[in-house]
Amino acid sequence: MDRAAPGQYAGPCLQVQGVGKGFRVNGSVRPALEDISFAVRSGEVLGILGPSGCGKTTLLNIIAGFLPQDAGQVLMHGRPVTRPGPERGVVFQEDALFPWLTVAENVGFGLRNGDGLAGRRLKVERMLELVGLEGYSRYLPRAISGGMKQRVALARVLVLQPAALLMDEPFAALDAQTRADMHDLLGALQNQLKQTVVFVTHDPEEAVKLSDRVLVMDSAPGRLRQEFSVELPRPRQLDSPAFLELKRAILHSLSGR
Amino acid sequence: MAEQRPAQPQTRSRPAAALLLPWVLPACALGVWALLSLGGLVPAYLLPSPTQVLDTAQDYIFAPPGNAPYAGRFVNDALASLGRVGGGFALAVALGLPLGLISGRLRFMRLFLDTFINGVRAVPGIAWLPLALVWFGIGFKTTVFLVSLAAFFPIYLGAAAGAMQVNPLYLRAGAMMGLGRGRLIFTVLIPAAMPHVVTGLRLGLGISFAYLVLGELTGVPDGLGAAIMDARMLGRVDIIIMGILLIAVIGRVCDLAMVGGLKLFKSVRRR
Repeated sequence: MDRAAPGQYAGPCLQVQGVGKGFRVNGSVRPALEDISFAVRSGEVLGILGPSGCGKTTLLNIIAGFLPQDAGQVLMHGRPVTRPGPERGVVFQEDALFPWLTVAENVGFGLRNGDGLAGRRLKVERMLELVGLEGYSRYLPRAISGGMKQRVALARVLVLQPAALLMDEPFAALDAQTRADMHDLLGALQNQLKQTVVFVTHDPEEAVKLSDRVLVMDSAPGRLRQEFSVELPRPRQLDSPAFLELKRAILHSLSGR
Repeated sequence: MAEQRPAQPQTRSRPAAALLLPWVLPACALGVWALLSLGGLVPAYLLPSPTQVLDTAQDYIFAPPGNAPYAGRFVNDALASLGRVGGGFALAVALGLPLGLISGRLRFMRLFLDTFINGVRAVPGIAWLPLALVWFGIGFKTTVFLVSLAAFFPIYLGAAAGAMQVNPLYLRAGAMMGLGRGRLIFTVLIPAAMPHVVTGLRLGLGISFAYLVLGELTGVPDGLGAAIMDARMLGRVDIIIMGILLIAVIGRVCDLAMVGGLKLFKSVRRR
């Protein structure tokens, strides 16, 4: 299986090699991504930052296996990605929980019968505890807040122990306080699980706060512009001079042409 | 955590209004009917009074068969009619649901099916009656054919609309969590399409009763539609009105039973 322990494979967790993608608009092909290459180490948090329309969501969809690329390839533990799978868990920007399932049923959705009913229930309970939703297992998605929904969305992929977690602006629709809470939660989970994460955002502060490395993208066509390494101690101090300076440098890179 | 736990809206108690409101309109209709007939505004040979129809119904439902032309025929007629509706509706579901779901998801199937199906849909059921009589003769087969033909379209269209409007994120989420095509259909696509599917099934069941009566008007010996048609020739308006009321009651009960049965599915109950 693709979900083999990362220890068996020495190379990077995820490799994006020369990926290109175009979309057909009124008969002509408009390039959306051009020659994107980077690698993600196991346990690394990589932020992809870019203005809206730069193709960062398209890139994430290609890595997830939702969209085929026109050029290049994506390798997961050295093997080419051809379709979606549980070794690449995705948290979507919008609410994508199944509205006909309870919180616990949503979290247990991807678990296979192998664990048995009791085993699955235990995994779900533990995961709900981890994301701070104990006691909500029997609620339906419509009865919980937006922030809680994203916690469930996170839990339902983490319970599958993905090799990489892919997130498409997962906190963009939340209010500032809830977003900060989610950042803290993600930081705590990261500390505990050493999860490999690739996430997309348009917010430089979020990128610096969460990432080990930030890739800044150009738009039309989408290309990698610059790479920043974030070597600040965690948890990140948002008002420390080093943080602010890095944020300014990234903002500058984002707006400069 | 600072967030408050909202009340769980799972069991809802019914206020008195919810129990009363459905009966207001039937009671009004009954009142107007009583006023017209008992007040002498319409002669009894055109509109018999509610009490007269109630007497007839008692005879029709409870009297031992053979006492009078319609005595005790109810059980036999109702079973015959329900068998025809059930057969035709089941056939329509068996064809309409899968075809609808497929054409809602696959563009080439939609292109392949839609023109033909919507063309046939434009033909009123009565136009099929002569052909059905030639093909299947008088009775069960003709009625089942007409019922299934009529019920097919709303069921097909409901399933197609449901499948087409499924949030694509749900399908992506399912695939991302490791589901193959088959399991994706049964655990994501169909539950997500359920609200439209249910609407199609209800419209289909409703129209089944309309075509049941049409199929039974052609001289079959039993069935509620047959009872009504016989009664017209005998000038028994009370039987006609009773038949109409019984079809209304049975149709509504079947609708409630079906909706209740569908609520066994989480995907219906929880939305």
